[in-house]
Amino acid sequence: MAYCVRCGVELQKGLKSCPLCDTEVLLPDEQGMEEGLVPFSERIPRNVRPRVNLTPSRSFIVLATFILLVPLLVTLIIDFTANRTITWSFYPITSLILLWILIAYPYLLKGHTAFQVITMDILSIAVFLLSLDLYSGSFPEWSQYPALSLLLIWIYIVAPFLITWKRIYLIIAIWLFGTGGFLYAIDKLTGGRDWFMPVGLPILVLVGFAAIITVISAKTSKHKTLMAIGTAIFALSVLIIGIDVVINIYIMEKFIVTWSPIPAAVLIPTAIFLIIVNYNNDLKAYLIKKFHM
Amino acid sequence: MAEGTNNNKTNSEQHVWYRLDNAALIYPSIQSDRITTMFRISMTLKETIDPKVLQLSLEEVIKKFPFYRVRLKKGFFWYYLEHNPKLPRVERDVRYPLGRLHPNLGTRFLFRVRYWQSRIAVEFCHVLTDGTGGLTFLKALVYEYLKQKGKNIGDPGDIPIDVLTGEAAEDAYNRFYKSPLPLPDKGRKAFHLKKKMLYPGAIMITTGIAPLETILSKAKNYNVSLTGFLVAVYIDAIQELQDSLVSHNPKKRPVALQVPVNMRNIYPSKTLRNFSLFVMPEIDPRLGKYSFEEILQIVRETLITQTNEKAISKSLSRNVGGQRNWIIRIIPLVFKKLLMPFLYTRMGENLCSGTLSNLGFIKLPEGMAGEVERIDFILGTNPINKTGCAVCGFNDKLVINFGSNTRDKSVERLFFTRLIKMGIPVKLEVNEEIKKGKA
Repeated sequence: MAYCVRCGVELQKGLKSCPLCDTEVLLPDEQGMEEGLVPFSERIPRNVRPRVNLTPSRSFIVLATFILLVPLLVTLIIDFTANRTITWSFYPITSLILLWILIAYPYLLKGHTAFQVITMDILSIAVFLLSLDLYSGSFPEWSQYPALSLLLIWIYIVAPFLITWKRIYLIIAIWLFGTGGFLYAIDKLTGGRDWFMPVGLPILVLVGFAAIITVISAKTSKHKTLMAIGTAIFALSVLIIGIDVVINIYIMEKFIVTWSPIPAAVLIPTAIFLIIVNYNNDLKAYLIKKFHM
Repeated sequence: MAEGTNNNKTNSEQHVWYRLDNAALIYPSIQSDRITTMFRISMTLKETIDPKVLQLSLEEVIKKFPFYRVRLKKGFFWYYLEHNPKLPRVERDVRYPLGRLHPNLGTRFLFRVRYWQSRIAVEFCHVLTDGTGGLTFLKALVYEYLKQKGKNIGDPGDIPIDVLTGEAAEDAYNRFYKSPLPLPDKGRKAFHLKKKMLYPGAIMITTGIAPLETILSKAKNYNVSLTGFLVAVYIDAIQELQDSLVSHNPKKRPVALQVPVNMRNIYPSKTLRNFSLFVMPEIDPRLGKYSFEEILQIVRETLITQTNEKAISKSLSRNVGGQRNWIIRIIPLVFKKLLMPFLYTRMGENLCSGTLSNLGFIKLPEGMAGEVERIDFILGTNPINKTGCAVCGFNDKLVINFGSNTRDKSVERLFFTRLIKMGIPVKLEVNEEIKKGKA
């Protein structure tokens, strides 16, 4: 039996200091360290994160269906009794149908994947917008722009689903081609002075190069976070200067830089500093010591 | 769909559901990594636990407690409990008990059964029940376990052996509610120890074991109940702690303790859901330092004057009245959830400097008592009052458990050294030894 000389409490076997006052135990009873006498297990519980389940239950779908059915019928009846045909009620009715599809689709498609749900949601929103445009008169008036944007968003989301992140260069290529196609289509649809070939495409190519350089540096310099961040910042500053030049050529038809040296003056020294710190262990240790939190 | 098992018309277990009782309403909205809303009761037997037998016993016992075989679901206006078709599983004990339940509450049980060496522990979420309910469940589980092990333990005594329905599952708060009574005092913000907390989920348990005989005779000398004596020691300890931190009297805050009262002793109910309320013995250190005798007198009188039916029905009426107020009832749950944490701090935790819960002297049937070595009762922690104290007596020992979410053990030290100075020997145990330099 061991007692704390300061508190006077009898201590559990094996304790090296008193849990209350931290005074060292003079004759710690080592016997208690054997298994079987420690009051608590050594196992430390794992920390679990909540999982969000977005699939609604069957009962909820039924409830939602009837709740949405009421305004649908009411608008339909009011419109029909007044005009003997469907006029304005087309808008609330299509909106309600869209809402129902968004709510019910994850459940109706048994064994669905996130890819299928996202595809269906984006498709139904696009069809909804196109139908509104079609119904309101001259088609296509405005709906092609949101529809194209939705297509681009779909490409952004879906590429990582269909291709694993291991083939990241392929994903980046698909994103770039998708963006290029989108910009080209918008350029053609809006008419006026062409801006895709002189401005859009060069900037896109620059963005692509910056992204690929960043990914390569992140992949090759694992455990060298500073190096990767430094390279990424460097690529960003090159991109900024490039954008500046491209815009100047387009507007003033001169090969000059105007505003981009200012952000570059911030970014390039930062990048160089990070890369130096990455290789200089003394400097790294000094910085950790000075700025530890 | 039927509520409860009483008026179960569909006869299908799937449609059995329960309203939360009045005290439980607040807990689902406030529980987090920091506020786990859990408590734990454990029995240490005389031989090592066989997990397979324990699992079989648990599957048998849970049938008798249909109102614990539930999962927590969201309704539009309130949370509710729904029959859980799965069976609970026993698990190995951990270093830091009383961690929060799995976050996906909609599919999980609201309690845990854990075993380690010769100990069986149940950890209950307060949504389900209070200490009395938890203890009844543990008794039934250990009884079944010993029976399945082939021990001759004889008559079950007050341990339930049939399926419990009706009164055991009632919300007794609502049954004994009287139409609006005057509101209880609002109270003032009490003293809280400000210390750095451990990472969420960790808990420091300090257990003091004292001989029951000595501590009872000490309390008798002072002419108070055991609870009253321990509360007075605790308040005295916190008073000294505040004195050491705040030197200027007018800046001191009241020292108040939340002492749960088992309402089953006041109202004739046999419910195994929540049925307890708090009384709060309080001193005001702005008026000067209180001697131990003065504290004893305040505690003694508070416990007598506040635990009678008239006085306690005021808080009962306030709580149930809030639940029945139709304005509150038509607020959707999403908005109620935002309001609850505010109520919890404002009307509960802010007003007290700690909790002392005494489960009392636990009696087991004669045959069973010989197989049980020790019973422990531990409270979960919360960020405002970092330390909570839970007490229970069994055989010739009184086990005092402090659960704390900070490494600082000044409250525990002041409490136990006071007992030592009064000539009560204390044996100390901890779940983790503090490493030097980490404090």
